[in-house]
Amino acid sequence: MKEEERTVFRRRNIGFVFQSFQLVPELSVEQNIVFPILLDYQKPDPESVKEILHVLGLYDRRSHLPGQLSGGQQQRVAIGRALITKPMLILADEPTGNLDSKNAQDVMDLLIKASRHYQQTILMITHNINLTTSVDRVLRISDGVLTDLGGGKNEALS
Amino acid sequence: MADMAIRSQQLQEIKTGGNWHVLISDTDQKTVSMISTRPEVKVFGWYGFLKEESKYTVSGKPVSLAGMDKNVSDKILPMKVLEGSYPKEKNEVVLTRNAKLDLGTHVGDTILLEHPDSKPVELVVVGFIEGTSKILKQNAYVMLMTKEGFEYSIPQEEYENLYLVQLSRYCNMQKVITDIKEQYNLTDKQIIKNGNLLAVLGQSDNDYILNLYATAAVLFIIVMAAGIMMLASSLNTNVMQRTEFFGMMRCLGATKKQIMRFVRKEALHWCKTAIPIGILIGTAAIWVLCAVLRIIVPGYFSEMLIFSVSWIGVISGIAVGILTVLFAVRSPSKRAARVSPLTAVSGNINYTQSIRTSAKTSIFKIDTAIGIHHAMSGKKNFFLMVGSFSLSVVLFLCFSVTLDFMHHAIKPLRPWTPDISFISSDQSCSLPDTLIEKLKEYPKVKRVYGRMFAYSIPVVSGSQNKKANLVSYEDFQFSWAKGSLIEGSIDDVKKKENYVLIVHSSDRSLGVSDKITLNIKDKQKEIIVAGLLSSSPFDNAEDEITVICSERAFRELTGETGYTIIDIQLSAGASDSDVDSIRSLVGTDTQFSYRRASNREAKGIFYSMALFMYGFLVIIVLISIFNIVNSIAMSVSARIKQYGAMRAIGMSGRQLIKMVASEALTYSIVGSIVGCIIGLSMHKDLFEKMVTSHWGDPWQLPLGMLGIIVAVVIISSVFAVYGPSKRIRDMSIADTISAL
Repeated sequence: MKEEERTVFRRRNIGFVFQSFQLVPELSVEQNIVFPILLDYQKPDPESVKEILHVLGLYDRRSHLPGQLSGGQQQRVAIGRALITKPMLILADEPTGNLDSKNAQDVMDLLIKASRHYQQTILMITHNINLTTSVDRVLRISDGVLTDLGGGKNEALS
Repeated sequence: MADMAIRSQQLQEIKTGGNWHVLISDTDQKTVSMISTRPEVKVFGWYGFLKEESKYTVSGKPVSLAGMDKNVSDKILPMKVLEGSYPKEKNEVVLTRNAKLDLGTHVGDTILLEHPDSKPVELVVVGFIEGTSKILKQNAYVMLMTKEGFEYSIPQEEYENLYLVQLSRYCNMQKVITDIKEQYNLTDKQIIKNGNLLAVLGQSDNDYILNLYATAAVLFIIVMAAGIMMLASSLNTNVMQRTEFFGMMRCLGATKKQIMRFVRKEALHWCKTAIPIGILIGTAAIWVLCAVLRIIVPGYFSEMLIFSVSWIGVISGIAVGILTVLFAVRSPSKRAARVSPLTAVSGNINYTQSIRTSAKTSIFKIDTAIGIHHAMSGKKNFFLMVGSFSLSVVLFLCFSVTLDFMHHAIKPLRPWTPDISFISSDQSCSLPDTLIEKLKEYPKVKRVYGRMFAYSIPVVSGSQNKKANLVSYEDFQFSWAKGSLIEGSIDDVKKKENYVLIVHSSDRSLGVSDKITLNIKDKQKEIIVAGLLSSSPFDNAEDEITVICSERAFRELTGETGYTIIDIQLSAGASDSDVDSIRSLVGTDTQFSYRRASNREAKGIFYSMALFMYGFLVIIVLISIFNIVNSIAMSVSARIKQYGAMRAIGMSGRQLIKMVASEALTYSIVGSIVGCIIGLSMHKDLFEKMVTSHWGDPWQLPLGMLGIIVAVVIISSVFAVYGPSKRIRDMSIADTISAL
């Protein structure tokens, strides 16, 4: 694929969630969430946006700028951005790394709920072993060696 | 370039006036001998010339005869010998070239120097020399002899003599001259300075050189300030791209002062390469410019040195380079010192500007909306960027007024400037009108046109009594006058006999449709002003007006049919022998003015001024382009991580370019608008002070200049996007994601 084609593929089929959120500071919560759709020069479906905002618990903050949100709220916006195009795959790089334990749990619950609801694969990187309890499958890389540690209790769903 | 211009001026002054610094007259031989032995005196020589009232003639025509000793002829007043050789014997003489045709002489001929009260002196013509443009224009001719020949041929009561002194270049000439005056009790009449040459040697209190260097100094400061801004911008970009590095240094324990010293030394280290390159490119550029001047105006700039090195320029360049870097590095070094050690981890200085509003994605596409928002969100940054863009427009517009001034001020380079002129000996209309037809037939004559003059005619306008000079124009001259028409119409003047043009005067006493009454040969004639010109080729006394009419109207008003002056413009290939042939067509009973040499000089002044002014405008444009490119690069560097994240999420390369371009165009469009508003009002003000007040031309919108600078600003902004955009596009997505 050429670079442009890869970019468009990435935009429509892969969602990213970063440890440091990486929201666009000039865009509101709603604009950040629909950012991939705006990049396609499309108009987002208002109902889908509203649904995601409610799921994320950010409906009341939809016009706020990232600078006006807490860490947990920002990460939820980032998750919303990753989900809006209903991609097949979401890549999450230490999504809870900058969050306290409560927010971290909330984000994990959101990710798992989203993966069940939208039938998406979420590939998450973490150094927090506690988070592996709620996922379907765990792979460990240690000293360059990849080890499959198997699935959790809900392996049948994956 | 200023140094080259001054050196060229020195050579030109020596060529036209001689290489002497002071002349001494009316003093005794003992004083003269003592002065000649002073250590500062390099060359000392004798020069004798006929008194003004002397009645010497050759073939019935008055001559200027001078004698000089070998020192003077070799080193002080060297004249280029065009044919033959310089006199060596007592009875030998050289003549200026214009005498050849006038007197009909050749090398080897004998001429008689006649005086009503003495026997004629036989002299042998051994050569012809080049005269100065002044001599040629005034139709005078000069004969030169050796000192011995002059003293032998001319009785002492008929001539004056003086001593020409050339001082050493390395002494304080003013001080030496003052010393000589005081030591030998010489008055100001006995010791006269060569003011022009001393001025261009920098040895005078004359305004010319002081003004030139003062102007160059002011321009130097302005350009240096712009250079400092541009360099500071570049260094800022460089610092912004290495925030992690500076954060790491701070993490490891470098103090703020050490960081500042590091950035300063780094910048000075670049000077080691940049300054020599700048000197070499600058020197090569000056060589090209000097060569261009020599090719365009070879007569005037024949003395311009092409492959010379201006040591003043080189030393100034080095000093400017270092000073500029030292001034420019202050802000970036402070910025680098302020980088937090935490940046070693995060990579970007936190974008701490508080954002109050979101981008307008409902009005513009996402990439354009974010780009415009990037430009306008930080008020201080927006103000500085717009300020720097608008400064380019303002500077360019203000300096463009000097071009208008130059075009008005340098008169001789007008389309009506003749190469040769025939002038009635008594300034009356004595040149027959049939002469023009005769001259038109000569193959090397491009254009012939005449003018009739009637001087100091009493005129009445309203209640005012004035004097007027009435001048006739024909078709060529009317068409050239259109360029300086401020008000009214020229067509009425061409067609109707009682309609005239008036040249603008500072008291603005006459306007279009005003009636004036001429009193010519005791008859009153009423004429109507049909048009007002900003200028004309003629100069008047303060209380005189220039009235221009058609030839038919002039004949009707005055009854004269002949011309006062006939001007001729020659074709490009016309040589001096063609000039001689034309002269012989007309005959020698009119005054003849050879203007080609003075035209060349005027062209030389014009081209050197134009080169300087246009060159300066080019420098402004280049500084603007560099400033714009650096500003955009700096802005992109500040957000490089954000752009990387956007790329990871799915923003394409083209969208990134659009985003950066929107930001750049926001700055340039707003900057151009602000620059136009301020620049045009300053342009108007300067134009009215420099041009309108003197020549009457009303201010007009400088569309051409405005178009050029706005186009430069906008096109530079567009091209400035490509460098940073390429950088963003070349970033690896995987590396970007892992860095995030």
